[in-house]
Parts: sequence; structure tokens; C-alpha cells
Amino acid sequence: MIPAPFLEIAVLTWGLILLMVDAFAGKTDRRGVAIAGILGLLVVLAASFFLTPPTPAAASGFWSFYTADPLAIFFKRFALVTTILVLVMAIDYAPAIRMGVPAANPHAGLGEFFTLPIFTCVGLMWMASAIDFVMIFVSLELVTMSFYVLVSFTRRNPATLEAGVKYLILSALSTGFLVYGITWIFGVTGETNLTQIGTVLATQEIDKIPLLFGIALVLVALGFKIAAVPFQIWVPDVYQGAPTPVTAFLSVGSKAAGFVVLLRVLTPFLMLPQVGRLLVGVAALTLIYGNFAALPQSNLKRLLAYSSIAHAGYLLIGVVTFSGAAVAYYLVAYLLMTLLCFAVLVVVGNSGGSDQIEDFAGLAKRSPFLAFAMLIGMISLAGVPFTAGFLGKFFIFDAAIRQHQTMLVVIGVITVGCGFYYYLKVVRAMYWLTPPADSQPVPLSALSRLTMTLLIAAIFVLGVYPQPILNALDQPAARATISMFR
Amino acid sequence: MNPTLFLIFTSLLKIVGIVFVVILPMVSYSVYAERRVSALIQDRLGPNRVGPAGLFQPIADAMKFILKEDFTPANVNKFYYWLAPCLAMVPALMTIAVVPFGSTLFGVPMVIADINVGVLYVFAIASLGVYGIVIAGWSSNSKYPFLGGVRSSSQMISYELSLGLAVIPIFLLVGQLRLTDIVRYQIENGWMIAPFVGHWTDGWKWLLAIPMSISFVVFTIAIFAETNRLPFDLPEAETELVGGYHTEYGSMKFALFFLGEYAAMITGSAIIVTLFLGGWHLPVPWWNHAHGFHWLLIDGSLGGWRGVIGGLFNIFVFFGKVSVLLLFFIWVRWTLPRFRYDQLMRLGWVFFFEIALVNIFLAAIIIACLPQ
Amino acid sequence: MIREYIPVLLQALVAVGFAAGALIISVLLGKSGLRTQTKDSAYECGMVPQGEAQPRFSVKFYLVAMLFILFDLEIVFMYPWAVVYREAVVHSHVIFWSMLSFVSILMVGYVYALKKGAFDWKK
Repeated sequence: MIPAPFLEIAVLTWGLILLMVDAFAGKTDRRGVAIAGILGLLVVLAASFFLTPPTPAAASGFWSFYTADPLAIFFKRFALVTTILVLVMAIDYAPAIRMGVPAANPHAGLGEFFTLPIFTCVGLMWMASAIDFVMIFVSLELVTMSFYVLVSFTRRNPATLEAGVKYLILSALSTGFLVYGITWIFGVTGETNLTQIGTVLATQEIDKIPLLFGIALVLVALGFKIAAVPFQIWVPDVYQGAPTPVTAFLSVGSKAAGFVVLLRVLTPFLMLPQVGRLLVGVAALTLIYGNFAALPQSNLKRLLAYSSIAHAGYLLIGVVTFSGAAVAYYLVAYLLMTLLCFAVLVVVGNSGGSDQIEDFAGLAKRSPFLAFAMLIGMISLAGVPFTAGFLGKFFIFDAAIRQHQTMLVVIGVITVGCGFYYYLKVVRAMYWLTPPADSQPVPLSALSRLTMTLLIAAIFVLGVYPQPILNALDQPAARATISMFR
Repeated sequence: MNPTLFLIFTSLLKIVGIVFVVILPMVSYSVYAERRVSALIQDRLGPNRVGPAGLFQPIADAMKFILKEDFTPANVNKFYYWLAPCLAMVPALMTIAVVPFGSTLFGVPMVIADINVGVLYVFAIASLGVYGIVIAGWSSNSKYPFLGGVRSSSQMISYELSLGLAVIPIFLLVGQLRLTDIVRYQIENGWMIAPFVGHWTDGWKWLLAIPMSISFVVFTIAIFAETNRLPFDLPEAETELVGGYHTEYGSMKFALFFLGEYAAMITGSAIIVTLFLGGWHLPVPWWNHAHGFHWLLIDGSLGGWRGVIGGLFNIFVFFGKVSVLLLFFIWVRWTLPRFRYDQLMRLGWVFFFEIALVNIFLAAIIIACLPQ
Repeated sequence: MIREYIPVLLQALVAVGFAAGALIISVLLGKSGLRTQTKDSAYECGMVPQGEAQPRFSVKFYLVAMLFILFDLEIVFMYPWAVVYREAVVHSHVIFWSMLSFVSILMVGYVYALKKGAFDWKK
């Protein structure tokens, strides 16, 4: 039996050790660092199933900052799985890194590219457990700082540099909003702990205007992290310019962490109707913008960026209706299908050198397995039945209908139709278009093939049997959803 | 008399006395001593024409600085160009405020401001000195000063780390940041470089001398680097940068840099004396019939003229120690060649930083074993 | 408490007063000479100034500045620790090990910077 905080300590220590190994490794191949990282994270993932029962939240001390409730444990595992998959992708992406980093030593930079995701993972895990604004801020910073480096990693590429600068500036700006918002909330309630803020709100008569101002600022900052409209402007350029594994990490890890923080932060503020109305508006805007802007895209990475905005919209419906289980399930589905798409994109992009949709023309003839994997990813993203993506949307809409958010459901259904068009555009390119005359089969490593197979299997299994995820979040909302599903 | 008024009155007296009667003349005469000692070491004569043995040379220099043309080049940033010399001078004079330069005189403690965060104050104010140099280098809008300014900022902040780390063993031992308490501790338990004094049979106290000596050496060398003295004078390295950051300065503005540098040297020596060499304390061997041979502590606590003489003796001892250190500064200048820049950074970041850090834990272990 | 700082304030006033006074006296008493274009130009050993007055300089200086902030903060954290150390270590050795672990985490960063050549100015 392991106390929950030891998970983060283990990951952090392992990351530090790997960083030292990299520093002393000289001119040897760095892929061993990534393999070691994957193995270490797998061990921690296994350890997360043998945790001591959580200590109840205290009024002060460590347990007033940190919680190990089922939601936290669930998102810790989520972060670990994401990081493992990203590391697998990063190994495939190594040749592009070698070209993108100006250095005499061909292995320079690779070590950091493999260790930084581990530190990001620690940040994500802490964020999942954070129940105090201070802890939220610190762990968010750990995540964001690692991403600053990761996003601009292949710095010989001008698009990457542009992405790095945009991400740095806008992220720093959003951090400013977060701190300012926290300050206002602290100023009104005199607390940074979320539970105690809830108590103060419930028991004391306080001035609503500055409080709402503070919450709005915090929501702006979190909106940046989850790419909700109107704070999505950085997403397309950054996603397109960043190294592909980092894009995948950004779209899954960073977004999931944003949502878990959003769920936690909103808990004490639920009794304020203004917050709910604000979120409904943001969700509607995000759905419409993300889906319609994705329609004309011809670059797959950019398409996935807009798709990521669109999915933030669906997730926000889940947040508005406050169904934590639906959000969690949707995030898991989103993790599986997005990472599958990005994994294929890394492999194909490495052999073809570009991320345009037309480069996927006739992929079914060149590499049937990769085309099939991409097909599964795309139909799941679109929401075809018997995939995890369908059930995710189903739970979200179900929760929304029961909360009488009819307007959101209508917008959601229309935009899903929209999604079919642009996701299937990729499928059409792969299966209906003829490949260029000089095209070669795409080489695929055994590790990547195994990972992709597992992801495909998971998409289908969770698409018909969602109970493992819903059970993991042993909460009233989850139980209600399960009973409904039966 | 109102205690606050009394405090202001005595403080003003002490400040004026220290700044205008002790520090500034000491600055002038350390310049003179520097020239005379350099000459002695290089087998020359040095300035010997103005007054007996050239003793009025500093006064002549000061007159010359005042009467020179006060020139501001056209292409400089005027405001910062004028601000920089003040910024070089003011921190050096302000740091001395917390240093106890004597015991008591007429019952008044011989320290200008006895604040409980003494050492933090010293570091806070002393690190402002880098602004004067950086701003001078930048505002001059010229290549040599610019290079000097950049080099100097990098060098000074690098050695500030070692400086900050080297004093931690003292706080571990004393448990206080107040400089008067550190001096008091040294009087009772032996100076920091010889913590075994009075505990001759205690092996741990002898062991403690090792980290303390390391601290002393690191701190002293870091002070050399902080004051831009040879062998760390790269910010102004005459042979490569003409005059470094003050190339574009003349008349009194240059003089302020010059004086500020020497004032910083005096303040730095005063800090070394206070932290490691017992401050104003000097045990005097004494013999009388009642106690036989013993060491006598002289301070200003006695009544009447004895107290006054004791207090004056302490002040004299303190500045005597400072003067010895100043001579050491000058001596080193003509003994060691200048470092190359990469050697300088390597020494600061790799060698001193590591030594000082390990030293802290060495001291911590030994102190944990000390009998209470 | 605040009374202790009155002398500091006075000392600051005297120091600023001395610096400003010296400059003013020099302005009042100093001779004024001719201004010529040559005299106004930047000093480059008597040659006509060439190129930019403030050339680009090595990125290492920025690196040193960033590392300084990192490690200076570490040192500042050590001060309060050092002050209470001797009293606390009698009761428990935790105070020693906690600082050692804190420093070792930072030392990973230091060793990393060292191995990556951040302190190697020859390159």
C-alpha cells in the first residue's frame, strides 16, 4: 500500500534521474532514456492501483492542498497513460528532432525531449490533486513551463519558433489572469482553499461583484488552457508549429488538466447562477467556432487543432451540467482517439515530411494498417456508434438533456454533423484518392504498432463497455449515468 | 531628552563621524597608500612631492577632481549618465550603517543602526552597487563601457552566490543575523576563524575551524570579486577595455566611481572583520595580583575616563584590522595577474559555489554534534 | 522595530547628500571648455567610432543572469533555515535532511547546467 503523494515523488525522482543520465551520457543514443521513462511510468501506473485509502481533507497542512479522491486518482492515471503514449510517439519523432535542433552532437536535445514530458506529467498529476489555488497555480506553472520548452523544441523550424513565441506570450498572459483572479477571490473570501471558499460563500454575506470578477478572470485563464472560444486564438498556430508529439500532449494532457481544475474550481461557485450562464455561452461559442472553422482546413495538424477546440466545446457542456463522470469518460475517449491520430500522423509525417491531408492520399494502399488506425481515430472523433467517441458524446448530451440545456444539445447535434464532413475528408483521402506514383510503404516500428493496436482495441472496447471508466469515478453522478445506461 | 530625538541626534553624530571623519579620509589615504605600496613593491618612489612624503597628495587630487571640466558627451543618456556615479557611491556608504565599529562610547553603542537582519541588509544594499556599473556602461553609449558593464554585472552576480553561501555557517553557529550579536558571540566563544579559543579541549570546536576557515577564504575572495579588485578587475581591465565602464567619465563623476570602489573595499573589509575576525574585539594580555596572568576584555562598559579610553581603543582596533585587510588587498593586486574571463566564471560558478555549498553541510554536521 | 531604521534612513540621506553635493560642487567650480564634435564622440582610443555603440553580446550573459536568480533564491531560503538550525537540530535531525534534500533537487539542475556547458565560457 502506497500513500498517494508518493506517486508524484516517484515520477519526479525518476525524471531527475533520467535528466542526470542524459547529462552524463555523452554521445550515446538517447532512445534508452525514453524507454526507461516509459517503463518507470508504467511502474508508477501499476502502483496507482495499490494506494492507501485517502486521508480526508484537513483545514491546514499538506492535506489542505492535496487530495487523493477518486477524481484525482483517475486523472493521475490519465496523465500517466498520456505521457507514456506521448513518449512512444516521441521515439518515432526522434529523427525530426535531430534535424530541428542546431547542435554538433546529433543526440543533443533528445534527452530533454524525452525527460521534459515526465516533468509535465508530474505537474499534471499534482494538478489533478490540487484543491487549493496556490497548489493549482504552482502545478499549472510546472506544466506550462515544460510546455514552453517542448513547443519550441525544433527551433530550426520557423513555424516552431512562431508557435513557441505565441504559446509563451499567450500562456504567460493567461497565467497573469489566473493570478489576478485568485487575488480577487482571496480578497473577497480571505481563503485560497477551495473547500473553505465554498464554506465562506455558503455561510457569509459577501460582495458578489468582485467575486464574480475574480471567477471570470480565473475562467479566462482556464479558457486559455482548454482552448475555449474566445481564448482559442493561439491553438491552430501552436498546434501546427509544435513538434507533433508535443501537439498531442498539449491537446490531451494540458486540456484534461484544464478540465479537472475547472471541475474543482467551479465546485464552490455553483450557487452563483451567473457562472453557469457564462459557461453556457462559452460552450455554445466553442462548439460553433471549432466545428465550422475546421471545415476548410487542408493541414491535418491544423484540422486536429480546430477539432480539439470543438471537443473542448462538448466537454464544456459536461462541465455546465456538472456531470464529472461524463467529462471524465469523454476525456478518456478523446485521449484514445486523438493520440491514435497523432501517432499515425507522426509516422506518416516522418516518411513524407509534411502534415497536409493530400499527403495521406492512397495511404490505404501504401500502409493499410496505418490507414485503418487513422480511420478508427477519425470515425471515433466524428462519433460513429460502437466507438468510444460516440458514447462520450452520448453521455454528455444525456446529461445536458436531463439538465434541460436544450439549446446546447441542439447546437451539439448540428455541429456533430459538421464534424462528420471534415473528419471523413481525411478518410476519403486515404481510401478513395490514388497515391502519388513514387510513394513507398511507410515504415512502422514494433512498439508503435503495438501501441496503435492497443489504442484501436481500447476505442472499441470502451465504445461498448464503458463501465470500467465510470466505476473508477465512484461518485453519485457516475452511478446515475450507469443505471440509466442499463 | 526625548529618546527618539536622542537617537536621531546620536545617529547623526555617528554617521557624520564615520562617513566624513573615518571612511572618506580612509578612502583618500588608501588611494595614497595604494600608490605608495605599489611603488614600494615595484621598487619605485611613488607620489612624494606634495607635503611631507607626499602626504597631502589626496587633498591635491580632490582639488583637481573638483576643478576639472565637468563634461557630458553629447551621445550619452543624460539622466542615467548622471545617476550612475551616485549609485556607485551610495550603497558603499550605506552598507557601513549596520557594522558595529566599536563597543560603546559614553554609553552609546558604536553602531549606526543595530537592526536584526543585519547581514541581509548588507547583501541587499551591497548588491545595489552593480546597478551603478551597469547603468554607467549602458548610458555611456560607447563600446568599452558597454563591455565593461556587461562583464561586471555577470561577474558581480556570480560571486554574490559564493558570498551568500559562505556566511551561512556563521548563522548556523550563532543563530542570529544581527551583526552585534555575531560580534558578541565571537567575544565569548573565540573568533570565527578560531572557534576553539576558550574550548581548548573540545575536539568538535577544533573541527569547526575547518568549515569556518573555508568560509573565510571563500568570503574574502568573493569580496575581491565584488569590489572588482585585481585579480578580478575585468570590468575595467585597463589593457583591454581602456577604463571599462567609466571610460566616458571625467572630473567628479569619475571621482565618485573611484571613491565608491575604495569605499566598497573598506566596507567589504569591515564586513570580513565583523563576521570572521572578531569585530572590534582584541584580547589584551594582562597581569595582576588577584588573577595572575589572564586575557583582559577591554570595552566601553567601565565608568569615567576608563570607559572612554576603552571605547576609543575598540574603534581603533576595528579600523586597525580594516587597515591591515586593506594592505592585504593592495598587496594581492601586485602579486596576482588578472584572470581570463572564462577562468573567472568557472572559478565562481564551479569551484567556489560547490565548495561553499558542501561547506555548509559540513558545518551543519559539526554543529549538530556540538555540546549545547 | 521601525525606530531601528531611522539611522538607516539618515545614513541614506547623508550618502545621497554627499554624492549629490560632490557632483554639484564640481559643476559649480569646474572649468568649462570648448565643445567640439570630436570631443562629443565616443572614446575609441582616438579613432573615429565604428559600428554600433552597443554591439550584440553573448547569450551566456543572459544564462548567467537566469541561473543567478535560481540559485540566489535557493540561498535566501537557506538563511531562515540556518538561523533556527542550531536550536531545532537538538530535537530532531529532520531539519538537516530536509535542507539536504531541497539542495540536492536544486543540485540536479546545477549539474545539468554544468554538464550542458552553461559555465564553460571557452565554447
